[in-house]
Amino acid sequence: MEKNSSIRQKREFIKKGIFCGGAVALSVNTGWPSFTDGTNTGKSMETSDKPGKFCKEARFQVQTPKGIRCMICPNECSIPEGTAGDCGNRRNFNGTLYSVAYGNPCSVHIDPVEKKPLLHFYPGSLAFSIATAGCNLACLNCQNWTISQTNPDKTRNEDLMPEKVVDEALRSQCKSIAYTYSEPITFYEYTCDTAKIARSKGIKNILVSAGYIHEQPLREMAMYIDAANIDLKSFSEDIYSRLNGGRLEPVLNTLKVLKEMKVWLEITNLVIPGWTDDLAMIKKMCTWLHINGFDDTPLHFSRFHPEYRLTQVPSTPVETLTKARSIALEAGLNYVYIGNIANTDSENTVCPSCHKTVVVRKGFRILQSDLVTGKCGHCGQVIAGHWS
Amino acid sequence: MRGRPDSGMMLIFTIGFCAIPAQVILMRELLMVFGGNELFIGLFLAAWMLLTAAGSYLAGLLNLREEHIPFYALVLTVLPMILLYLPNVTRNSFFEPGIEPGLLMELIFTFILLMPFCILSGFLFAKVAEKKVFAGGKKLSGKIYGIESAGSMAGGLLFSFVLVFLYDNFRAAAVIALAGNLMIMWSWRDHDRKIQLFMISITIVLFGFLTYAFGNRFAREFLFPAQNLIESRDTPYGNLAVTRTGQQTNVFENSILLFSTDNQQSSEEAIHFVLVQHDVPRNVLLISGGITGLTNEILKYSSIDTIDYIEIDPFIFEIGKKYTNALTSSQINLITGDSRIFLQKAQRKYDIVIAFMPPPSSFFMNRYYTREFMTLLKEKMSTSGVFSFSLPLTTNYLNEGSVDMYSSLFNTSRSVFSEVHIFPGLKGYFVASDQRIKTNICQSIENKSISTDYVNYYYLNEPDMERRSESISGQLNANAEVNLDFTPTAVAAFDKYWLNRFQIDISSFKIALVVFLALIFVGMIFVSPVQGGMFVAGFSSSSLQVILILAFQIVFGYIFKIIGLFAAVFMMGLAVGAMLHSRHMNRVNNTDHSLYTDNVETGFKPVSTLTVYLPVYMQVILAAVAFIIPGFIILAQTIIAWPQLLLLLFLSIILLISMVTGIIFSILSNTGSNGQGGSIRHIYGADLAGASLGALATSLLFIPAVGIKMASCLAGLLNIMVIFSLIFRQKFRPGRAKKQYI
Repeated sequence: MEKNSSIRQKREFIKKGIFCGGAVALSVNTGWPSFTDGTNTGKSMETSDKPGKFCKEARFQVQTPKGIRCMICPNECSIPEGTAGDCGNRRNFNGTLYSVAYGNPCSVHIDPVEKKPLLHFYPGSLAFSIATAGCNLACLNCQNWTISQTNPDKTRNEDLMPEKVVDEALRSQCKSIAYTYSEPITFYEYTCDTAKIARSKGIKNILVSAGYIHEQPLREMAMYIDAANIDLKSFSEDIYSRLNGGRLEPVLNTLKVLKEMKVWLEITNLVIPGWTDDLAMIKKMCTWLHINGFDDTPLHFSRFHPEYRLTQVPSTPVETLTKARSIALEAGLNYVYIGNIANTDSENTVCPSCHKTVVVRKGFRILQSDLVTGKCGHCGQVIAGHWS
Repeated sequence: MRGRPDSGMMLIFTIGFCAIPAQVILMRELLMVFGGNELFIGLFLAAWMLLTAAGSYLAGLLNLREEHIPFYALVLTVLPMILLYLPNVTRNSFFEPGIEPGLLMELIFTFILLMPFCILSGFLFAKVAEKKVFAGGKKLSGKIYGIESAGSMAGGLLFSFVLVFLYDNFRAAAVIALAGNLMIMWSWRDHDRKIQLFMISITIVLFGFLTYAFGNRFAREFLFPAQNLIESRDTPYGNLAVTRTGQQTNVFENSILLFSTDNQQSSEEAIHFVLVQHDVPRNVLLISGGITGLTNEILKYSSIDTIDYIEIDPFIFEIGKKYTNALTSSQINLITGDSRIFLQKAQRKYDIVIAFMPPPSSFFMNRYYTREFMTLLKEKMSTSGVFSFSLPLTTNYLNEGSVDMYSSLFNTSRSVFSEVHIFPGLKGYFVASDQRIKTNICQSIENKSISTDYVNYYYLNEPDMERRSESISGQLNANAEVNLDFTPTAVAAFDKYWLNRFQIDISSFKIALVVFLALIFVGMIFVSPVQGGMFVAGFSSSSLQVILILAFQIVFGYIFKIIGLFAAVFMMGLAVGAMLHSRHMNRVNNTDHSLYTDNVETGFKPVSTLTVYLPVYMQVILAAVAFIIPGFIILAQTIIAWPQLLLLLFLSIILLISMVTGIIFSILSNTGSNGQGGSIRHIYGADLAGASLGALATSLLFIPAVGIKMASCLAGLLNIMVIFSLIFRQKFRPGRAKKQYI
């Protein structure tokens, strides 16, 4: 009798266990979309199965035996039918890749060009800044995560085709159009088409990017880009993988290609305590830049503040930034700035020849300029940049 | 059992005694390590109770020899202490340093962490209870439940009224472990293997002393790699840690950075956007955040007479005095306490009120973002007074959660003040007043000759800021519901915003939860009406407890000890209810193990007809209380002038709910063919499962969906549905019903 009771109890337990397990499975299946709502999954999206108004056939796609592959960036996503790539913006409709980020920016603002940051490119001018949703990286500290870690289906977008972007920039008296905030590589076609029109109308084009792109698409895009700010997030493959979900090497190549193509280039390095604040690594980075001829490329060290998922890290101490700047200057880089720290002279431009201050800045404003047609007013040294 | 005759009951008591402090300590620790919020709390409690329920069900499958019981019991007392180290020590091994892992990973981690203690405690309770009931009869079930509840009450009171004020989590866990250890050793002092028992006990004591002396410091070091940990203090409100990186001092609250020194921009924006609005500000009320540098910015205005600076956690003032120069001025009055309680009694009229609080991430925090709060504030402001608060902002785009949150709070502010403006900066700064809001901040700063580093023409582009402000306003939903104390729309919006960071869509999440609950309800009711009845009772009582505690906080204010008192009274009610019924059963039937017999004098009827109705009557009482609570809350708001009466009324209702639940437990565990121990295990498990899902569903689904008052009615409605279901089963399937109980 005891044995029967024990068997009955075990049966009951198994029955309840199966029931509860089934309930959990059903619930998880119902709720699973909630855990994979973001774009960076390659999952099916809740959209029409035909390309819509804001779609354009994607460039740099190849057919492989395993299906369509996007070759814009080193992610090289294989994208099955009805799904999107890691960036969320390249989608397979009936065996053809389309960009779904064309003419539908979710973020449109007018910023001072110094905010990009670009300090040697028409200072004091305004940049008409646009971005669609999506990004091909997944930085843990992204300050634009609300648009980068999602896709255009989930954002409130404007209807702003390339011609209209240029018209708006002209109307707003902006010197340039900046493709920025999220990652313009993921709205490649939109960027290129808009840039072409902008150039024809005398508007400059600024690319603000992480630089995570293959060489060929970069070269084609760069033909229409006048200036770029590239985020060199660290100088370590390991950190690039763990912090950003990418690789270092392609970004270094981007820097070289842009320099070679004479795109005005400025580089930003965000110094994150515990991640990218290793001074030895910063020295290595600056040495590489020096060796590869980036002495006249402005380098901006930015102060980190907790953002997105990196909230349990303190802000960057000011002295770390100051030390980083010193290392960069000692390595031979001529223009090294610290962003967003008030009351320092690290925002000023110093002549690399006579070491006198040629541009005095405070915030986004120039207080005094001793430049004469792009040269130092004291010694005549050419100060790299586009000044007028 | 080879301990003293009462050793089993002592173990039951010890399980309860250790469980409640362990639950609170581990929850606080996980919140501290991961920086969670209300969502996480609900899920944590659900995980705790579900795992304990699983442990009690496991007792039916596994054997436990009597002589091993004290050994397992000792392990139970020391487990919380051991488990405390794990989140600290392993956090940066499992997750990248400094990141919030996300709800899913936190849940998985929590489940794994809680499994050893919860399963063991559920298992031990069920096993020991089983043995006691087998030896002494079903009528002991109620007494056993009562003793466990009494232990929970004792442990809860000790923690809430003593330990949390004196000790950090590690020391508190050490004290609980030592006390539990003593109880076990005392009960089994005549055990056959007392030498081995003693050796284990000594090891636990030694470990306890080491933890007491070094545990906190040792563990916290792991949380802040590449930083110099200066100080870490656990307070009733969480953990505050101070670290240094170079010359910079950083203050973390529950591992989230509160501020770093040399971060002027944040302080300047929080202060100057609002202070320039008033021509001659004299009296300022600062609700939280002063030590981040806000007070120094306020004092730049020469017209300032006083700053009343209030924090709920007094340790923040200690940190401020020790590590900053923010509290040196004699113009600053430091006030400890709940701001709403302070405002009710405040005599001064304020020209400026700045709330620099965390966002409305919990029902508690939401109280500072409601129309009722703003209305109260306005009464204490001068006619030209200006009020400001801030919310997280991603400057270039507001996602859905942000839009909902901003819309709700914008409309809430507009319902009290005639002018509201949002200034975008590092955060979104809401400035509200009945006077016109100036948007030419930089000009105003210059006019007042205030020296600033960031809020000036050099860093601020006013046209751009105005454009962005209009852009934000243009995205807001004019029809968004106003945020009220009892309809916390802002909390739901924040949850959506927060979950978006981990790419979780809250709607699907909630649907999944509803599906799960529905299935469990159906399963519980149709698989076993006895367990179903206990499940619903646990669900209702837990749900109503959450509602009442929340309602009390809203009406009266937040006082940590009172919350502990609520929990203790609840446990006491469970104990009293169960024991009362148990004693009654002893009187009714001393010799017969069957529950009821034909007894003309007492009027009790045979099992197959009455049994199901008595718990139904109790369920009806629970349902009635659930429907009365909304009216009671309205009444409570009118008698706020008599706080003692208010407190007494709340405690009485909690006592009633918990007593009824205790009675239900005792009734149901005396039923059933295998009521001799088997049913207590199942009913205990059902109670826990119901309680866990009740707390979860209430905080995650009911309150955000229908508000606090209606959530209570919803709980009552569920009760009624189940009652009808139980009656239906008994009435129309008597043959089957009879089989259930034989």
